[in-house]
Amino acid sequence: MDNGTSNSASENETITLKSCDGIEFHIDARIANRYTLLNNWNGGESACIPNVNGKVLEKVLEWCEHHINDPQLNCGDDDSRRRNTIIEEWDENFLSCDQDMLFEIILAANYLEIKPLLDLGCKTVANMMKSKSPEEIRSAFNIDNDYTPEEEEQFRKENEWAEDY
Amino acid sequence: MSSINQEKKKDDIKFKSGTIDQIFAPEYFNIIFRYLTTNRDLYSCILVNRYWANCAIPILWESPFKINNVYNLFPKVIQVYQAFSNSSIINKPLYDYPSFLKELPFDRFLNSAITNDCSETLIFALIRILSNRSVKLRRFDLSQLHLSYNHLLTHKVLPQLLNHSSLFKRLSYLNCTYHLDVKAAQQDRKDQIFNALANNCHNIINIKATVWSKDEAIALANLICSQKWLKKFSLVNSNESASFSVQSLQSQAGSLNKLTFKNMHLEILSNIIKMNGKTIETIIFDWHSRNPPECTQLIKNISECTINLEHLKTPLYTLEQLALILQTQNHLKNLDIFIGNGINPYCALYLFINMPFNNLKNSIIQLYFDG
Repeated sequence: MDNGTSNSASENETITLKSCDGIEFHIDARIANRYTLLNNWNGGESACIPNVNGKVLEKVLEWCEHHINDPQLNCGDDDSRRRNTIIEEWDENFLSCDQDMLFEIILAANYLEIKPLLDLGCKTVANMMKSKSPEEIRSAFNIDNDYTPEEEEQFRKENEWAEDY
Repeated sequence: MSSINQEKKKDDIKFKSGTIDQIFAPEYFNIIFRYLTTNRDLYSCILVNRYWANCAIPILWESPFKINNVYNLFPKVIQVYQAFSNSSIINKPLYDYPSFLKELPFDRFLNSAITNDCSETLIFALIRILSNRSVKLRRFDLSQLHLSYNHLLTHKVLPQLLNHSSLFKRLSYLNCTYHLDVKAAQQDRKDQIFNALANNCHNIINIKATVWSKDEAIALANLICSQKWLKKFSLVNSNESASFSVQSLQSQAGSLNKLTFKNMHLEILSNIIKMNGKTIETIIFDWHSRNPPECTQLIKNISECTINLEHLKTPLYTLEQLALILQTQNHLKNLDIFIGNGINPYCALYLFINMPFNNLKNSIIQLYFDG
């Protein structure tokens, strides 16, 4: 485990990133050092991050800046179910935005390989599903039910063991 | 996260406003659904629509015999599995559910089958169903065999299961902490389990084991040595013969980063540490007590023998114990100490402030004070 304090860039060093719609951000070089892909786009005027617009990039960078001193945990690629779904207050407030923005942040975090932000976003979406019935979930995310009644009934029956736990 | 390939990611990022289904590929749902901690929530997601079912079913059915730490049985899961033993299926299940199995707590699987009145033949058929589907278990749990509803059946089924070696090819977590009385143990030889797994599993990263005889300890050592990159090893409620197994951890020096002792007799533990000091880099003691055990000898052995120790988590109950640790450890990068109420917090801090900390200046130190 890296304790996250060994970034080679100094505190005063900045780099410039440009969103796909041409908005420039001058960020602490230590942020880019933590996330390889951000560092790859540090190329002055002509370098811009394709596909991430200014509004989303601003949010992503705000999150990165707030968590600049977090230890870099090696989460591994464990595929088992997660047990920790607690979200810190700052992060919860940070992601209290509309669904479109939340989804865009998740996509951008994945694209930029900022795994802790990707996990945080996915955890937030999961928390929006918790303790809800299928109808409530459909309504929360504006989704249509495409099951036939027979199919839905068979699904309920085959998976009913899971209903109680 | 499970990796999402780069080309796909480029497509993903081209954001179009729409519903969550239109925006997120299954890989994203795979992460989201894994944050749902109860089966009930996953069950709700399955019933949302077909797309969500495609994403959630494999997660729900990878560990259908265990949820949290409550000892529940799932005879209805066995009933669904049984539908696949009949070649002329009339009501064919909507998914090939057994193919998703990744985690198998053996006793719960067996007890669920027994509760469902499955005969021995039928249980063997269930195992074949898993094997025929090329199921590759990620986790195998043999921790609660003492709760078996039918020991005779257990002794017949377990070797059969181990014979299907392909099931264990990708095992990454093994919990073999059951401990039966001598009579039952003679029938259910743990050394045979370890040896069978040693022949077939080479990618285990986490082993949790209990050993009570030399044969078991040597077989466990054989299993340890046959792994490519064991990262975690926990020794639970074992006797001194476990030392054979701990010695074999030298073979995993490049990967092992966590050694945990749980419910161990202090004297036994003290001797094991004395005998294996060079091997040990991380020690986590998983015991706290209001009535402090006499663990000074153990702490002394840690400070004298574990010359390569990098991470230590332990409770300490006297200033002498604290001083022993602080004086001797040279490689510690991470120190978690629970300070028992027998130590005056001011004295503990005084000791910290006045010790020559050259060896700990780059370490992360966390102190927890009782009360």
